[in-house]
Amino acid sequence: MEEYKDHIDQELFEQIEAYLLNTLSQEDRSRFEKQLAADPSLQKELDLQRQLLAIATIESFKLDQEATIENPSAGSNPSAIVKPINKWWWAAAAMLVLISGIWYLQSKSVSPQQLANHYFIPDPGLPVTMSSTRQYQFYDGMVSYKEADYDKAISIWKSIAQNNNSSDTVQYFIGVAYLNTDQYNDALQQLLPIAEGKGKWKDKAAWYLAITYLKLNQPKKAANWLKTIPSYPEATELLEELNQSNPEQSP
Amino acid sequence: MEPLNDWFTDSPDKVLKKLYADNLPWLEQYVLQNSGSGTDAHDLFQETITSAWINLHTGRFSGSRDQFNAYIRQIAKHKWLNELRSRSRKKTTVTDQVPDQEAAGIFHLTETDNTEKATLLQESFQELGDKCRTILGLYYYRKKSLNEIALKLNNTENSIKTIKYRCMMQLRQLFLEKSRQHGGV
Repeated sequence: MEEYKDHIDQELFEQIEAYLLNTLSQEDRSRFEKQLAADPSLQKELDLQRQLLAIATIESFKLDQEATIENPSAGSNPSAIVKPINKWWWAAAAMLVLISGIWYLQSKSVSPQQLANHYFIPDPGLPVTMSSTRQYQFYDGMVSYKEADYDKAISIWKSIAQNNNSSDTVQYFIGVAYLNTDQYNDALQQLLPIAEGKGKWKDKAAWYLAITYLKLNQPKKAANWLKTIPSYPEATELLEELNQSNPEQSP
Repeated sequence: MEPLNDWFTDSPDKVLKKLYADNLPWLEQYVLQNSGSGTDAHDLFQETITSAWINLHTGRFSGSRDQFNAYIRQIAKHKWLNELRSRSRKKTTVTDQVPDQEAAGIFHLTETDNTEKATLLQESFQELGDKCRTILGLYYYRKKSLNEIALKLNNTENSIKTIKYRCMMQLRQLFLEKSRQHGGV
């Protein structure tokens, strides 16, 4: 029996992948099939990759079913190590979404608020780095934020905001902290300038603005913000849901 | 073996959601009528679709979508009968008679049973980091382009491509190690 290769280089992997996803040109495909016919270890590898592809898609499906796990905030800091508190947080958030999801699927007509509850996962916050003393206050607020003590986080961040020209990051997190405590109008005030700006928090601010407008039963405004972030799969989905459930409703 | 072109003109998320919608109501009814609960039905569906999906990818099942629905239902029955047998052996409160016969059907399930392998594959995927699972999900399941993923994750296309490769290699490594521990692949 053939052994599996110790190492598959990126080029070979991508060839097998392209074959399985059927993105090879006719010519490349024939060439690959000839190679396959002549190389039993390649056939074995192909079979293995088929299984890996199957598990990657089916497990993603299960995660997708359980919750809208891909949070729109995953983009902020992809290289950051997810702290245990984050994992705990997401598990809790996922459960909430699951529970609200079941309820939401069972109810026949869906209100904007229900949609908001279904799609809303609070921003998990940023990893707290202990090295930075300059930004001590900001991270002090972040610790409170992660403990879900949003009022304390807001008051700490507000004090930074008053002292100097506050950064987009501070403004953004004050906004999502307001949203997390259901203070929607305050959330709007914070998030609107960020979403209208050009900074790195623009898209996430737009997403949470849309959620805020849904909570305020203003689906049209929510839809307008969702349209600005087509790269978020959730935004597209939510937009479709909105069109289906509230075709003629106006804010 | 053919590539999965006929099946995946749609993205896997669409295909799987359709399979779910087509088969879950049937499966719930079947389980509820045969001494099970709604939770049993849900668990059974997850297990069944995993098995069937792997066999679809490896060519151990080949056929149309309708045949695949029939295949899923036959696997579900087979698994559920096994479950009922094992429960009655454990003398739990299964009141109904466990049917004697094998789940009848056109597919030879014992030849393509992959329960153990499916478990190992599942465990391997679950051991990947969040970042890997996100990227693999976006790319293979939702069929997002590298460009879209790069934008979303604030990264370049090329690094996403490399990370994706490393994640798949990690998945491969985890699975091969587990398989060796369980005596052969």
